[in-house]
Amino acid sequence: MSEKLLDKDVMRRLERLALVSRKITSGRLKGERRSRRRGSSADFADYRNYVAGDDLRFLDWKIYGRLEKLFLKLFLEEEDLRVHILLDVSRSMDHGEPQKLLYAKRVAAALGYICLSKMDSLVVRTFGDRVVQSFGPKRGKVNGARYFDFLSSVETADRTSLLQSFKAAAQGAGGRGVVVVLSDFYDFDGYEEAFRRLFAADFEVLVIHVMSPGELEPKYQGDIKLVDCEFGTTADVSMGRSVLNLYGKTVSAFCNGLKNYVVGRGGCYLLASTADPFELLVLDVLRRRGIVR
Amino acid sequence: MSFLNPWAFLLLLAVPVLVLLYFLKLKRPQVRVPSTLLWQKVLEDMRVNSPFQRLRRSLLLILQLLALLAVIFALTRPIKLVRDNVSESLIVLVDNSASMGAAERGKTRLQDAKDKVAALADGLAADSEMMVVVFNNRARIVCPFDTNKRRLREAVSSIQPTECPTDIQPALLLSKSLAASRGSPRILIFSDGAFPPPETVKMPPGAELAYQAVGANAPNLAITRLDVRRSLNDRNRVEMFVVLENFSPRPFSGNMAVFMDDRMLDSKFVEVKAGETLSQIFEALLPGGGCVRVELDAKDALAADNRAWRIVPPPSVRRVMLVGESTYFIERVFKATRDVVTVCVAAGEYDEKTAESCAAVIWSAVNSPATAPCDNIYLGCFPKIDGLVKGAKVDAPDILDWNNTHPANRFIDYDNLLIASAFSMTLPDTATELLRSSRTPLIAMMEHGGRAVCIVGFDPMQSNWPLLVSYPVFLRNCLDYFDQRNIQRTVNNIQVGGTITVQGGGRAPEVLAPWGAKAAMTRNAGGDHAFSGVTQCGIYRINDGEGAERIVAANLFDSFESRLDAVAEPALGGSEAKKAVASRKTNREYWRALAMILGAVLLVEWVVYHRRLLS
Repeated sequence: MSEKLLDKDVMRRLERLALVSRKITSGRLKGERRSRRRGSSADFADYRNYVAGDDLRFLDWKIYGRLEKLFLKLFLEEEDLRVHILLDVSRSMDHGEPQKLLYAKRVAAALGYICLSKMDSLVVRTFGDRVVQSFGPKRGKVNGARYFDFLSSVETADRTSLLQSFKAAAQGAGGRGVVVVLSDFYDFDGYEEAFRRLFAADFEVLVIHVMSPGELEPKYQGDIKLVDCEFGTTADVSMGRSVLNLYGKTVSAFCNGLKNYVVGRGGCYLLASTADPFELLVLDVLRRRGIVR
Repeated sequence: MSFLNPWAFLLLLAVPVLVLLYFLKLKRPQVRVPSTLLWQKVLEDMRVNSPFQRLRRSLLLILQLLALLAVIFALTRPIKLVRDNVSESLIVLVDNSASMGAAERGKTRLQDAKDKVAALADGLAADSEMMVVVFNNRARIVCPFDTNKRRLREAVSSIQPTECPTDIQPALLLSKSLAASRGSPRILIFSDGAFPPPETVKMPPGAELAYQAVGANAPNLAITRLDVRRSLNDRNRVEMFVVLENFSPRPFSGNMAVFMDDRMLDSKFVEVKAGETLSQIFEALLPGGGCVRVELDAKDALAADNRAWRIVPPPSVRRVMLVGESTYFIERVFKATRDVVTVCVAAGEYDEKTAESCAAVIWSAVNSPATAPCDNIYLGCFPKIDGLVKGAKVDAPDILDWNNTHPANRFIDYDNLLIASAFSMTLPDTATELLRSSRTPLIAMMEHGGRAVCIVGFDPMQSNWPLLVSYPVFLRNCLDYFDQRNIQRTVNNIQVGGTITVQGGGRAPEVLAPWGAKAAMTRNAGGDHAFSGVTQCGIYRINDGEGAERIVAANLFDSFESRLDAVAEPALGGSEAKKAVASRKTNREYWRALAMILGAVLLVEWVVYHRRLLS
């Protein structure tokens, strides 16, 4: 199964990368990333007055010798990074040529494998109108195969509800970290309220907006009835040059609106067309954008 | 509105069928898409940007319904009683006389009339016919009855202005004969009304005469008369008598110049008060003949009457035949003048052939005198003239009065005239009394057979008249009057619109018109050659092809034409004309209009359908 999502060559190249977090966050376990907490690493951080009960091993005796006052030495703590991947598996993701869900799974697999390789804590949740399935938290490459199996076996959901899904994800995250959202964001209720929940939980949000070429530049002709695959709603459209031009402007406005919303709140936005190879996105675009290094 | 075929309304049942077919036809193919979220935004935007989007969506259905309704209504053959703009047969008379050449507001009256007639032709109903007749002093059919609007418009545009006077009589007579061939035609006259009242023309029953006034009042200063005569004192000099008439309500001034064969003789600044007449006399030395031209430089509405021409023949020695016994005093009178040669014959020796070469024949107390083929003076004798009756002898008639305005009585005083006896006479209506007693006319002037005839009702030898100064003066005045009259009557000076006639057969002479065109004269029924195309004022040169050239001057000299007052209701000889274009009610069918609407709707539908496919 794993071969279908990532081939070995890509996995080898991914192992050299690491997900970059622009925030210094607090992890759960010892790791390779600087923590907000003071701890027991070799890197000196600060001094503070000694209070009764402090560990006497961290007293700075040299200062006591000069000043006859007790100061405690503080050191930086190194913890792991909690990475949450929210993967949209609604029916709308099951469309497109190439299929958007497959594309999203591959991107999720790549990002997840980077995290596992760097001993970051990986949590993956698939969602439709709610969180459907979860994976993790897991650390280490040893969990890579299970992770790929999980991705390969995810089930699609009927509808999309970003608010319900993000709300559940934020509540269940149990701590700060990075949230990577892979979705087409087709939600009639909008995405603003849903993202507000993530930003309120102080997550560092990375949005990968997955769209198929048929959605960005449709090739429909004539009088047709468009049927929504999730809600069954219809739209009678007489396709013509003017209609397609207006649709193009609407798609651009939709993408730009999402981008402005996310970036304006400190997040990061990427529009991914399934026409482009996902390796290009992970190994090139994400590197150039500084999301991985 | 009513319908000739109301059963066709049953076809309205096809309307719901059409709607049903339309919606059945519009079963759209379904396409599953990830989401209609963006498409619904697109549709909303289109509705906002295009408020008629809903209408546009069903535009084809609306057009098809319109086409179907047009077919159904056309099949019902709707008719309506409407006021028809034109009758079924329309005779349009267009005045193209000189006054119609008056310029008003940048275009001439004729152009205005032509525009109106062209508009009338454009609005002609499909089943109506129209005829165009142009008239001035003659009437001519420009376009016979025709229903083709293009041909009618072309005929109207072909009407050219002329400088002819107007006589509506021929046009009314022509209309009358044309109207008789149609049931109830309408005759429309487009004119400024500048014509004398015609004689009564009774139109056929059912014919309707309507008058459309053209033009407004326009200022005009005109030359209404130009007379030229040889001076009484010096036959080598000519006297030119010009009459100017101001037909406008304000004074007019300008320069008037007199030319002799393109050589300027004199020029004067003239000013004519509103509505008044001004006479001007010019004199010039003219030993030979020539052409006198007078030009008036006035900025008025009509140019045709600002120029005048006169052909002056060279002076000639006049031969006078004296018939009778007692001609001694008469011979003595004419011996004193160098330009008169007398031929004396006895009463029984009168020869008409000799008389033809004379300017006048004087009959002196001859019993039963003849009428010579020239001007005649009868002294104490009476020719056979209709209306002239010789009466009883009157002894010692008194002198009651004389007409001192007549040219024959110039410088004459009859106070000393004593007459022993005279004959009473009854004169024709056209005669002019020159001298009368209390009981009978004594001297009269009349016309007979185109010749002037002077009747002296007493024998001068039975009076003291030969011993008085007035006797030779009278005879001389008569000859001058005859001479002057002949100059005026000569065919070398005609009114524009008249006919130039060349007597005799042979080759057809060629006429060079003032505008440079050449035309051959045509032979008329009398065997003479005639040219009736004198439509412009000016000099017409007739070349007989053998080197001889005759010059004819054509002038307007018509106060009716020069008075540029548009007449709203002219007298039409008892024929009642309606002021405006009359209209009548007729049943008009509308299926043709509906068929045109159908065609237009189908065309629009085709365009809409293809635009939708291509957009």
